[in-house]
Amino acid sequence: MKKIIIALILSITGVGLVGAGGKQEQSTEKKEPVKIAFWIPGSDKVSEDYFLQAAKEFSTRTPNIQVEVTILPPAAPDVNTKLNAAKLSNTYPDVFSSFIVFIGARGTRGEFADLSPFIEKWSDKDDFYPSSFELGKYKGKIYGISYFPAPEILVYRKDFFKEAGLDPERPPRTWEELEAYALKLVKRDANGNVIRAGLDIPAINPEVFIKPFLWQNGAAVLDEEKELPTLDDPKALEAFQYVKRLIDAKISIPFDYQKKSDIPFVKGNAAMSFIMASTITSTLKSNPSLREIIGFAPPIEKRKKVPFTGHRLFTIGATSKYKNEAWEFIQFMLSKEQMLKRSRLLDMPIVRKSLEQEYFKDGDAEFKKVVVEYSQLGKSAEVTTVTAISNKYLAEAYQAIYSGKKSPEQALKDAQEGILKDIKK
Amino acid sequence: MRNIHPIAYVLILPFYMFLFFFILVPIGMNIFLSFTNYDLIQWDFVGWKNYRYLFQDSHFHISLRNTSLYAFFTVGFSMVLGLGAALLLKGNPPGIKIYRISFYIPYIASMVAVSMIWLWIYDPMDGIANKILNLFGIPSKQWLYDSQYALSCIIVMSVWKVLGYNMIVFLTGLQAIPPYLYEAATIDGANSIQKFLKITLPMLQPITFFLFVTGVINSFKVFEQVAILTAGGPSNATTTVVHQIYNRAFNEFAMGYAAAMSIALLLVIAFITLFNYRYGNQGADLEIG
Repeated sequence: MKKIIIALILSITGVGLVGAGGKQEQSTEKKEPVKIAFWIPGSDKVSEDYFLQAAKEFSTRTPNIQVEVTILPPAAPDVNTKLNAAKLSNTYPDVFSSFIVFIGARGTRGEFADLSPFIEKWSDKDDFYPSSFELGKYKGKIYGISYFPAPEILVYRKDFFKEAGLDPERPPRTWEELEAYALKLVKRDANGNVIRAGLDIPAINPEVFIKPFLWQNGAAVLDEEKELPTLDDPKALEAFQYVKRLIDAKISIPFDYQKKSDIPFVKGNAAMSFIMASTITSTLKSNPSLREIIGFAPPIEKRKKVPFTGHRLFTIGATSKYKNEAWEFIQFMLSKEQMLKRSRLLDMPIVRKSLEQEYFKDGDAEFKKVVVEYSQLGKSAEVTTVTAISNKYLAEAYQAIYSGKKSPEQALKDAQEGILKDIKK
Repeated sequence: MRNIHPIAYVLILPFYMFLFFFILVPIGMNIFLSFTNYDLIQWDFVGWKNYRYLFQDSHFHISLRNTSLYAFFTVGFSMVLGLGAALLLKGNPPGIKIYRISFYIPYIASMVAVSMIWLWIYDPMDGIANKILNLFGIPSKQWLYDSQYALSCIIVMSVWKVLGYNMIVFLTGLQAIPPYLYEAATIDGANSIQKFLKITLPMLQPITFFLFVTGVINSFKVFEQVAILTAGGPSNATTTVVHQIYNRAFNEFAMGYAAAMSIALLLVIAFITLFNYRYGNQGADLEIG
């Protein structure tokens, strides 16, 4: 049966293959440069321009390799759709700048090539922080190299702190302080509506918000080794109960965490918020006067200090015909020169030890220090085959306590059972 | 048997080719996939396993309930309000063209653009919806972030979007009713309500039936507004069958199971449509001569 289906597909696509084969032959004869496709999720104009320019620079330096850049939509679900279409149409990119969540969802399923053989031979490898390689690792294979840690930093408004009688140079450091400060900072109108949030608490797509509270209390969503849920841990319940207390205090304006421009803090409607470093950068770029009144808090601590740190990783498509050329391009993008350029232009943290001094030499030293601290302590999305399923149930559990439909105990119990049931399916 | 010229078959061939390759083949492939555990990489036959899991999957049950509620209220309200608007415009009031265009524009606007506008309307902080409530001293609502209101919010937006289309179709139907029927009824002493119930509604039955069937089918396919406005939340309050199919297929890569869900949806829509044809189309061909 499988053979018949494969034969059918081949016969339908036969014409295309013949055409493609012809092109290939022609290119060998003429020794035309190899074209590699580089896909990167978009963010802002400056960043997109940088990547387009870098690809151009690489193509000029190595005329035998031409890089075609495709800027994808910024949101993970849209990127997911593009990758699915690429996979089904056999047009997967040669180089892809992946979110870490895709290492779990796609790398573990063989969509990305194992980079270990390239890294082993690479003379620069010891200059990188070990986490750059560890983050993209699954069962001994390295599917991606982190080049851009993107921590979620606790930011606060110094002017609102002053207004509430709080010391603007003394941000919260613990769960207890975070709660107490948020209660003091919230502002309501005569009807009791929150007009300025004490702390931004998302209503939808909350995974990045809730996970650090679990981690800070020593709990986890998944046992990454066994790929099984661990939401029945009492420490997870304790974290959920704390967040439920924050929700019930009605100190926030609901928002969707995926829609970065809708975050109340970005709109000036919140006193404290966990925000991605790149969102802070773009907010400050569009309104530089905010720099004087925005402060950066150290990572919040309960049992541990564990903020959420997303990562962008360079990967090579498993089906790429030009893996060596793709690797050459990745090496160029990870060179000291390009990394420094990114740090200066885009405020992207560095991941090479030898660049530390250079990195802190110019720019906003305070912000850079915080970014490095968060990046070093931070934890990312779990690299497992069941991360998408566990994220779904975690979000549901959170939304159930947010809406008051379930108690934290019930929400976590249902999530634990749901994940197990779905995995068995 | 009528003698049909061969060129007629050639002329309809493109349509049948389209039907075959873009409708029948995908349905066939979907049926095939629904008996596998295809995950974009590999597949094996799993028999009826995917279909059996449909009976245990609480997400599927919630999505079916939400989709049914959405279809019931969206189709109901859009038809009643569409008919009401058509009746108001039937008498050619001044500025009728402006009214028609105003009502019709949302229908031709893209769902993404419309959803973005309504996101702003429902914004808990700056949205018009809360501003209006506050004017009357009513506290702000969390609209899309409150499971109590979220589905209703999507229904309101969808009714607003499709209302203009229903209105135009009803208006066409109203204008096609022969005036002498009303004149005869007036001579017989019928009042406005009697004319509406005994002439207008029966004469509009074929149009009502058409709008109902297409409305139900479209409502069961609801996805874009859900994905943009709420992502199925909060707490699955707005997740629909197609939203679940999308999640299972493209986020969890459970293509086989998603295919089974889509076949179940196909059967539900087919059943409702056949039921409508069987019991909802009575007297569609009214003789008025």
